Amino acid sequence: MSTSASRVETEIQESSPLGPAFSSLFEAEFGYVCRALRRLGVREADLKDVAQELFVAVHGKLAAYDPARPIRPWLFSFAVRYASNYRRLARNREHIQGDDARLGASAHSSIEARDLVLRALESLDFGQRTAIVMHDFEGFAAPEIADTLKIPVNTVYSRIRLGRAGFRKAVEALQNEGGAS
Amino acid sequence: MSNEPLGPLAPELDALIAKEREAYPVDPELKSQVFRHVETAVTLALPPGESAGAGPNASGSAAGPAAAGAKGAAAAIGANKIVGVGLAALALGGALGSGITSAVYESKSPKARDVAPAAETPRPIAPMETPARRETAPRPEPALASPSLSTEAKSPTPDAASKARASRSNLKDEREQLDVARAALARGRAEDAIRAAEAHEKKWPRGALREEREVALIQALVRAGRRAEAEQRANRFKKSFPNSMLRSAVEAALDSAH
Repeated sequence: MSTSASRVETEIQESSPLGPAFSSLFEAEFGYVCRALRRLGVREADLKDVAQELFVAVHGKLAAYDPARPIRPWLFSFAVRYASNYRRLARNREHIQGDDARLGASAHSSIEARDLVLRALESLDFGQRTAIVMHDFEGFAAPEIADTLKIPVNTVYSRIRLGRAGFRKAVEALQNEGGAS
Repeated sequence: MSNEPLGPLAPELDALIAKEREAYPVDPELKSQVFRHVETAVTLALPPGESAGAGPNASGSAAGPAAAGAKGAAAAIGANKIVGVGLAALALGGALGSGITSAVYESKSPKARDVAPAAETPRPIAPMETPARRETAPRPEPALASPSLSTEAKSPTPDAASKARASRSNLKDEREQLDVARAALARGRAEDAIRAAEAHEKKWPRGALREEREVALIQALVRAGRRAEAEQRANRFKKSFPNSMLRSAVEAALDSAH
């Protein structure tokens, strides 16, 4: 999109009936939410669908958001919910598998690193995946994860531990696979 | 399970994640499309697919996403909810703008207060409400792709700048006209909404917001009991915009009349 087109969009968003609070949030955090969704297993081709469902819900709950609290854990909890729903569809799981088949296993560039990471994350169950994405990728403290997901903090630690082990194993396997091919 | 606290992530994995983090550029087209969809879904009280959204709230948090399904979004139509945000909106906007929120959040150490884990207790997964699968092909964005705007971006001549201003003005006018239709629709005044949408059509038959107009018009026709016209419009819409992300909204409008 050109610079001027971006300005047009900005103008549209500023005058949007969704209101300034939502528009500001959307402008600032759209990229963050998309990244969270991708890391939680939403395919790029489905990102638009899931993101728009999510932001409709965010708009609906914005009045309940406490601005004294950090926004990202709140948004991440939406991402977890919508990614979880998305992944429960059998057809999406099939697509995710299909995505895996074409991914490379090297990590010379950021794109390759992303593909390798996403593929390795795919080997984890969703709870472990969520825990290590929040903790090791996004820097959430374990108690904060527990608060966001409404699960016991010890469960968070357990999931991080298991998730890390699984993630490491998957990365190594993929790298070996890539080296062998 | 060990009682030892979590250690740091292995350096090679940390490096991999650091590299991976750079690979999520924001696609402005995607951003624009999502924003417009949300706007349409919320303003027309047409949540994106009745089956979409969050399932039952496993968290029990009033502010959590699980209670924020499509129905919640629909109930929060437009201005009323936004007005309710009030000062919170200002505070939020400020926090976002300054990046304070992120800074505060990111300053927290991932390893803070790491203590012994307990046995894994899988969280019960709530039944899913199926996210509606939509067309993924990008819908036309005529105003954004207009030659005048592209030219202006590359060589900001006075003429190009003038054209860009005109385009923005057109969009704004279109938006305002469409808002009249949407507002009437939200108030249940279907015939007024039809008139406003038809006025939009007369003035901007191929305007940048014609997809949104058609959806509003179809919705209004359905609510006014003019189903045959609505179906006729819907069929035309599907032919004209086979990959439109608003197609599901059109279908939902027709379904709502059954």
